[in-house]
Amino acid sequence: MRASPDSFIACSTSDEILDTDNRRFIVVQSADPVDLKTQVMAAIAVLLNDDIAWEIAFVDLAGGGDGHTFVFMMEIVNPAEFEHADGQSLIAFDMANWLASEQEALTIVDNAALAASVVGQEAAIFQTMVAGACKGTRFMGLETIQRT
Amino acid sequence: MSRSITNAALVYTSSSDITGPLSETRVIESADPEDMETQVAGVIAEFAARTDPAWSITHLDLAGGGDGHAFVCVMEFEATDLALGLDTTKVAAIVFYMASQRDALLTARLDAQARLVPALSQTGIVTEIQTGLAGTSKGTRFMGFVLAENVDPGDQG
Repeated sequence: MRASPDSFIACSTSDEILDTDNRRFIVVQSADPVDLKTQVMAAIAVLLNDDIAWEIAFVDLAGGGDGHTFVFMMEIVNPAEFEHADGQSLIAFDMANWLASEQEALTIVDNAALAASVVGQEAAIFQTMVAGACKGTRFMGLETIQRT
Repeated sequence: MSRSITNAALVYTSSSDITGPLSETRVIESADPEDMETQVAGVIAEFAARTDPAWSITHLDLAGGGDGHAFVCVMEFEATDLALGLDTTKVAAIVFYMASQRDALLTARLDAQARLVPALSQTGIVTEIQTGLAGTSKGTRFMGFVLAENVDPGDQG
C-alpha cells in the first residue's frame, strides 16, 4: 500500500522499471514484533549511509499462520531519479508494531507500542496495518510514523 | 485497506446510488498468481469496455492464504461520475506474484515488476500506484500485487 496518500512511482523507460540501484526493497520476515522492527531499522540504517535521500513509496505487512511468521516489505526510491515519487522520508521513518491474539489485548498493545515509539517527540502516523489469521492465534499490527 | 487508489472516494446522494446499477463489487478467488492476474485483468477490461457511463476502480484489496492457499482479490467499481478513483481505461497493468519466504519474495517482486515493461508501449509512462501483500498459514504462501496506471505525459505534474 502507499506510504503516503500521494506516493507513487512513475517510470517512462524500461530501465526505470527495472532500476534496482535507485529503487530498493527492504524485506524482513519474523514472528516477533521486536525482532521484526529491529531488522527493519537495521536495514534502514545501512541505507541511510548512502548519499541518497531515500523516500518510501510502498509498505506492506502480511502473514501469521501456524508458524506465526510475518513478512514486511517496503519499497524505497531515489527521488532524484524518480521525481514523481512523493513518499515519506526514510530518514524520518519509525514504526510501532505489536503482537496480540484477541480484541482487548490488540487495543492495549497498539496504544502501548505507539506511545513507546513517539514518546517525547513530535510525530505523525502515516499508516496503520494489521495482519494475521489461521486459528486466530497471532495478529501483528504496524503503524508507520514520520518524525517531524 | 481504504482509500488505496489515488483520491478514491465515493459520493452518494441517494440510497439508490449505493445499491444501484452504478456500483459493483467483484471478487476473484485463486491460489495461483498467474490465474489471479488473468482473471483480475479480465474483470478490469470488462469495465473499461463500458463507456456510458465510464467506470473507475475505487478499492482493490487482496487477502487470504490459509491451508488451501486460496487468495481473494476484492475490487469495487463505480460509475465515474460517482467516484474519484482510477479510470479503468487507464489501468496499465496489474501483476501478481507468489513466494514463501523473504528472499524468494524479493525475487518474485522484481520479476513481477519486470512484467510492467510491456505496458510502457501504451502511453510511455507507467505509474505504480498501489501494492498489496497477503498470506498466512504455516508461512508457505504469500501473494502480492502491483497495480500500475497509464498517465498521459501532459498530465504529469
